[in-house]
Amino acid sequence: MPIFVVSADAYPIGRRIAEKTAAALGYRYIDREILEGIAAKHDIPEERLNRLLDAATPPAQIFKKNWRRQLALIQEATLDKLLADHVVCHGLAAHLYVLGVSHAIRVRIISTTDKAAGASQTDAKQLEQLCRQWSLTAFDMDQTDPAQYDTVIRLAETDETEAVRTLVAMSADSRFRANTFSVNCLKDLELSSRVRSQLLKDYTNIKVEAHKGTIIVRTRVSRRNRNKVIEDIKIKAGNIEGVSFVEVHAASGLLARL
Amino acid sequence: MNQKLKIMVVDDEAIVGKRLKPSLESSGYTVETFGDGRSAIARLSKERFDIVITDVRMDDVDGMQILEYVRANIPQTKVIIITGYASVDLARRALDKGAFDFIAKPFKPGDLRTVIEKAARAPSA
Repeated sequence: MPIFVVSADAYPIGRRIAEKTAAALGYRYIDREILEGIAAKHDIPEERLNRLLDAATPPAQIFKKNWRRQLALIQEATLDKLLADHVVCHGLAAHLYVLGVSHAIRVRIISTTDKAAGASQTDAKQLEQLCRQWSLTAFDMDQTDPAQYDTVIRLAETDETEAVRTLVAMSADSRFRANTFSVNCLKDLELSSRVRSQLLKDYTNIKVEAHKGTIIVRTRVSRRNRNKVIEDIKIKAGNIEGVSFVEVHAASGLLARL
Repeated sequence: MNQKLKIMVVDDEAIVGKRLKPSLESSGYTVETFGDGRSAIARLSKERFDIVITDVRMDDVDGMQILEYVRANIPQTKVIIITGYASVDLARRALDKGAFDFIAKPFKPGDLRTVIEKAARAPSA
């Protein structure tokens, strides 16, 4: 069975459609309710996590370390929930990190600017630009790019009931059936997010890929600390459940890119 | 499906068939291996298999063509696609054409056995 990853330019509208889709299909619905558990587990105010997802712009550079780690914690918790089948997910920025999973149906809801968002065309364009910038900074993904989605539903051309009907119909499409490859891809994403959120406690520039227990960590480090950092990452990542092998690529120098 | 499943493995990398055959036979399956799609289809036209495990990228007749042949002519046979070039697009195309499952190479024979068992239990189309 597929999972739905729904995002919208207006949170309440996206939530309504996603919730109704889940109810119609008998799927589990996950949204910002999971933030409570993350907040309690990591001793972060729940309100801060909510604000983090609502904010139109990334924070200033000095606050980015915490911001990235808190986003990573949301990502980790969301991916854990998505490992179960029959899920509709909304409101957790999952469309920015559930990538390369063929049974994940990625949906973008675009509400009409005057009817739903109550903003002028100029405001809407500015908002879109901010959304774009936010998603690129947070996850290297342009959330305003329609090519990133399996379906884009414009409420100017349809209504919410029809949008739900469309999504329910998509669930029966065999192309989106879970398969061994897609389930393994999702497991890899979940493991890499667990490792990343752990390493973000100590490091700011961290990219993690996972493949069946093998972890590749990319980071930027000064030449002086290179060996120490590599060893530290190997130990920390190697202790995480599900990790069988750790490879670290540490780039040094001003022009080093991850 | 019968207790003793008949399985066809099609892959132009000889090592794949060579490794899978003894491993699957040790699980009690009857296994035939083929190195190209054309001879696999010729065999399928004469003999019934419960499961076909096929690579995608092969010269001449590829795995997708084998899948299409099976779905059109022997729909009760399940097709499991294996590939070293797995992608979202390819997985979706294979499932759309009626593949039972899609597996990225490399994989452990045990993982394949799990899928085979699932296929054996699943109702025929």
